Amino acid sequence: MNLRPFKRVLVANRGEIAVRVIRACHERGLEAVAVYSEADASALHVRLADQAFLVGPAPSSESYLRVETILDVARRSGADAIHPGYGFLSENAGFAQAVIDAGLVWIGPPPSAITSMGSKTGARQVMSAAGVPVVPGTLEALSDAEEAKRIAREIGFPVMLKASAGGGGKGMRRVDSESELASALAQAASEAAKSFGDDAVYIEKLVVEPRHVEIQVLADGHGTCVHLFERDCSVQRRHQKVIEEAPCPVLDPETREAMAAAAVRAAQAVDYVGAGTCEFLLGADGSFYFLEMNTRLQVEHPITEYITGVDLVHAQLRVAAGEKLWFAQEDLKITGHAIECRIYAEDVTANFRPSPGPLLGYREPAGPHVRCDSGVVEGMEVPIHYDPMVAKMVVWGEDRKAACDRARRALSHYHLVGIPTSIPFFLAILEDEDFLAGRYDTGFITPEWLEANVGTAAFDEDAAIAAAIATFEAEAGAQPTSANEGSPSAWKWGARWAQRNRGMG
Amino acid sequence: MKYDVTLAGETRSIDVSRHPEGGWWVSVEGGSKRHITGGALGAGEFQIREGDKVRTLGLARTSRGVQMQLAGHGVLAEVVDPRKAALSLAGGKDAGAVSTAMPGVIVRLVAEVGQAVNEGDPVIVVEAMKMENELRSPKTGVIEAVHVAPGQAVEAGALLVTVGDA
Repeated sequence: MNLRPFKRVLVANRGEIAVRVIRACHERGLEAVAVYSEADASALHVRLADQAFLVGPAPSSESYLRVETILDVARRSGADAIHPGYGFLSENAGFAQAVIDAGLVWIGPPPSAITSMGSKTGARQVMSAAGVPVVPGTLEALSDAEEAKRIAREIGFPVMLKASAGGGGKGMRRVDSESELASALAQAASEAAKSFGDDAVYIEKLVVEPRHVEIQVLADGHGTCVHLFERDCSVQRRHQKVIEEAPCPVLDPETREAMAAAAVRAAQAVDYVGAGTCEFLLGADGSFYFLEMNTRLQVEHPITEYITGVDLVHAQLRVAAGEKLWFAQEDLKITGHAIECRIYAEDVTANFRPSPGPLLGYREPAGPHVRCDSGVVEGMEVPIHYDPMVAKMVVWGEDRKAACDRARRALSHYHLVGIPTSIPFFLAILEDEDFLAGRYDTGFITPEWLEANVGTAAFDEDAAIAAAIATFEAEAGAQPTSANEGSPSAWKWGARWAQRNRGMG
Repeated sequence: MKYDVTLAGETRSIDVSRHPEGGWWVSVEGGSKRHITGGALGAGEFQIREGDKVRTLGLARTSRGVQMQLAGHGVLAEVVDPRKAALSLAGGKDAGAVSTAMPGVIVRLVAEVGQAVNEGDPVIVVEAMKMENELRSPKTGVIEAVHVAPGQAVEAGALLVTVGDA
């Protein structure tokens, strides 16, 4: 692969990831071109960019997802490369190809790799052929109970029966022993027929108490592919990751080695270039199975950066420009422990209802080994149109306990006034005995856990007094006649309050 | 000036007046007068000091009340002058109002004007941040008016649907 240097990068994204990429561009002496929707005109990524182009109204389907508009901006701005961030167009092979066809550098994997990994069943076949373990079972419908018994004996109990046309738990049955199998199959088939009009049922090994562990890979276009160890993303709510850590607290060196080797094989099987992630299910017995490959930068990439010292966005930019990787696998090692909390604009006391609104006060925590990736500033409105993630708070510690302690401290210093956020949820997780011991799987967050651990705010007399004084001062400022009373300093506060609150509505 | 401050479900009567040496006299629930100093620190922060004790709190006034941050929770403190509150209560509260607690976009109407609904029936769907939220009827009755249309953006607190008596 020849060198393809570029000097101006169009960042086809918004929010914290656009900011992250712009920062990396500037560090590497590259200009950054931002795109923004009408809802994002005052966003941080627009403020940091060298050029910024309005690409449409707030809904992403009319702005950030408009392939033609984005390519047009690339032409008008003189950009010679495009970074897609994550989400939006990042895993759209058609867009990647269009970027390449326009003569621009695509900062991502080859479109063919995106396509290969885009279909779950297709990816499963490619991975099996490459010797990467997938969850044992069959995607074809079972013909009868005898066949089900035969396959279950091969893959071992417990197994899961799933409706081929299914989803949402309908037509699903866990089966722990052979004696239950025939009746469970009949029930699953009948439920599937009722729910989906199709009684086809297939069988899969049930991974018990699974953890979601993923391996970061990085490949150049010169045949080198390395891994950057794992991230544990098992703490999830409704299949959404909420807190991630690296390394995984329960992975032994042998399993890590085997899983990482499988991830590198997976990447090589599709001629991967750039940064990518292979997701695995890790069973309680140490077995692991390939789930899927994300052919882009992940939200949680900073925890890998903390434990390895590698800047993954710099690496993406360099590899896309045709450079060889400047380090080898044996140069990489895990140092310390990192944790990421995804701060969402969600009201944890009201069933995680989205809570868009103004950031009336906003200051991110600081101190050693605390990193906040966000796309917001004080005074900004968190828009209703996009993912409710406000920021990612990432911390590093010399060991897991130090990282947990630092995360709790940093969360308690996170100044964010105006909207409810998921900060109390993280404080609760970081006080949970099982989490602190590393004992958790993808079933950790249950409605019962939330009920028992995430309460509402408690009354605070100091806060009530502050609220009363602030109101008193604002009203005094609005009525200058009373301002002559009291001390000069009190008057100053009142006047400042009045000034600030004017126009706040 | 006496205020009723409601925070995290509890209400306290707090009397605030100027202290001649700066700061304020504060009395909670008719208790002894305490000398509190401090004030606003930039936007969204407020510090109170009493003797050697310092507390800095996330705080910003809005039209809806005083927005605060308490142990990571974003909460709204209601601060009312009890005399003014007595006046506005006379107007009465509309028990049939369906309004949105957050800004969003109207996705669809589930019930139409004239339709009979039971308490708890979904009447309208609002989308915010890629999540759809069904808003339900607060009472059994008939849809009297729909104040919005699908596709329309609405502010927090906006009245969307009025449910009248059957």
